[in-house]
Amino acid sequence: MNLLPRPALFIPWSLGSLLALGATLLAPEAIARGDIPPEIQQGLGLECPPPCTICHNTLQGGPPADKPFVEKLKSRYGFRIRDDEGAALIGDFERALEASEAAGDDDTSGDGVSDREALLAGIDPNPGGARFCGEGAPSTPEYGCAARVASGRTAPGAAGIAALLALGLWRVVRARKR
Amino acid sequence: MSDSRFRRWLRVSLAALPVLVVLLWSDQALAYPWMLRHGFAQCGSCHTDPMGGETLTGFGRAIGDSKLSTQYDGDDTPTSAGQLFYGVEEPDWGRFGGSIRWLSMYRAARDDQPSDFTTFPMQIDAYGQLRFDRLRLAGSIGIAKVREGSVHARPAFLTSGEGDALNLLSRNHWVGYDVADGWLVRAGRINLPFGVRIPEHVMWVREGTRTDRESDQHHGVALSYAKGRWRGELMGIAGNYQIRPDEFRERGYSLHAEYMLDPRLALGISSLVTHAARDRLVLTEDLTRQAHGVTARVVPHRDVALLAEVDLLASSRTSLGYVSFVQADYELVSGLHLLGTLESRDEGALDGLPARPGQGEMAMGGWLSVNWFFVTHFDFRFDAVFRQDNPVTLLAQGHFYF
Repeated sequence: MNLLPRPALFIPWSLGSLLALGATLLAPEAIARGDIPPEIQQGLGLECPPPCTICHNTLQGGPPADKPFVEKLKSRYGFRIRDDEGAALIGDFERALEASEAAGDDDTSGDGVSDREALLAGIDPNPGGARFCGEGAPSTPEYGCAARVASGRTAPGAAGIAALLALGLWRVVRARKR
Repeated sequence: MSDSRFRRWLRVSLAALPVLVVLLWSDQALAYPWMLRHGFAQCGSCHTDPMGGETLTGFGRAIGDSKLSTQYDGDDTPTSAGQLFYGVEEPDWGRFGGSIRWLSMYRAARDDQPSDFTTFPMQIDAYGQLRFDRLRLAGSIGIAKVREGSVHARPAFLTSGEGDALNLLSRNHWVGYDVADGWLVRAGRINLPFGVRIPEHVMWVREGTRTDRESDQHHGVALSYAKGRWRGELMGIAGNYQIRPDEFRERGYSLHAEYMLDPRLALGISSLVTHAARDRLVLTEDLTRQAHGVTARVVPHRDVALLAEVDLLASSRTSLGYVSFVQADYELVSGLHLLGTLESRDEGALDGLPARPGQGEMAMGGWLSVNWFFVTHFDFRFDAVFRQDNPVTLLAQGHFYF
């Protein structure tokens, strides 16, 4: 019974593994994508971080970021979301917002409430924008079963449970074989 | 016919082209879904799930060793290498396995978005099925770590770590009973029966209909039939109970049925209607989603398999839309696949927002891929993805299944 691949197969096996390993080791650190909403919250002094949907079509964010509010800041006031290194340009966002205010072009929804006032009131500044913060704001989905684990504390627990389950399964198989 | 109606008719016709092309080209029919080329149309031949995916049968393991992987000496006789961990015999009452996929992704710079390179474990799952006479117990368990803000994997989380924390997840878990020959009734968290069950979970047909095997499963009750020329499943969707609160749970039905017209041509239909009090992705209240489509799997030549799907989309917040794809798979030498995919989508214009490619206007996309099953249990895949209004994306993944 062959328990391992035939020796001749180790050449392509090794090449393929090296490719996968190389791609993994050479990869730079992933860029976090959830950094913009907290920065907007902090920069403008909002009660809650705005949802991705003030700029993007879904809660998962972009690209593209082309909702009317952000499209206006990009196309008319030179707003760039990130620099060439991928860092969020929150200062650029505030500058573009101020420029739109100076130009009297600061009411994307056309409801008489400026974009800044809408954000401060916890309302999406886009046309038909819904409340995202404060009383009447919709809840956002939470994932996982009822057990809630503090952020950053899940990894050892999850890995431990998975390892225990794998060990248990292995013992069951071995016991049955005997 | 008004100009706008004519343009819509033209767009829908263009979207339907993939299935027409596939049908007109058919010479014979088949299945990974492209394993149809080797004469395996019934997913249940190789997978314990009659609709395909995850846990392998003993036959599936033999085929994985002898047909799926490169045979350097031309000998396609199955060996023990196909067994669990290269040689562990599984008991009659249980089938076990798992998948580890590691993905590296490069996204080119576009407009105000800089280039981006990331690498992460896309899948670290163990799965299996226990069978006692007619009773089946099946499930998967794994760990996942996704970017902050990503919607992938989260709907399958068991734990609730936030941000990019590592979480425990279960994509499916169900209890089933073989009520009669070919008939299986099951309840639990199940892959939605819809469309071609392709592994590319970000393909527009899977994203637009929310029916991928990555994390789009729901809890519910399903009745499947797989025998002879027929394969199909109807599932009543009770919601995804790994999402809270209840208002975000979609309820409704999902259906897929496929008929083998001959050994080289299989045609299918799919239908899905769901409703949620609030949509988990866009937070819209009272969102009803519909998707209805057709699929085709064709083998026009001994070394080529074609897969195609067209789905009409409707929802209470968008105009009528569609998604489609056609994929050609050419097996250059045993185990080495060259794939070309064309996809299109117009998911309908969003209420109150101007039309743009993909939402109110047609968007096109293309994939060029190489997938090499270089040795039993291993494959390496490279994809270059070109999509209108999206940056060019390169994907490289290594996959080990045990």
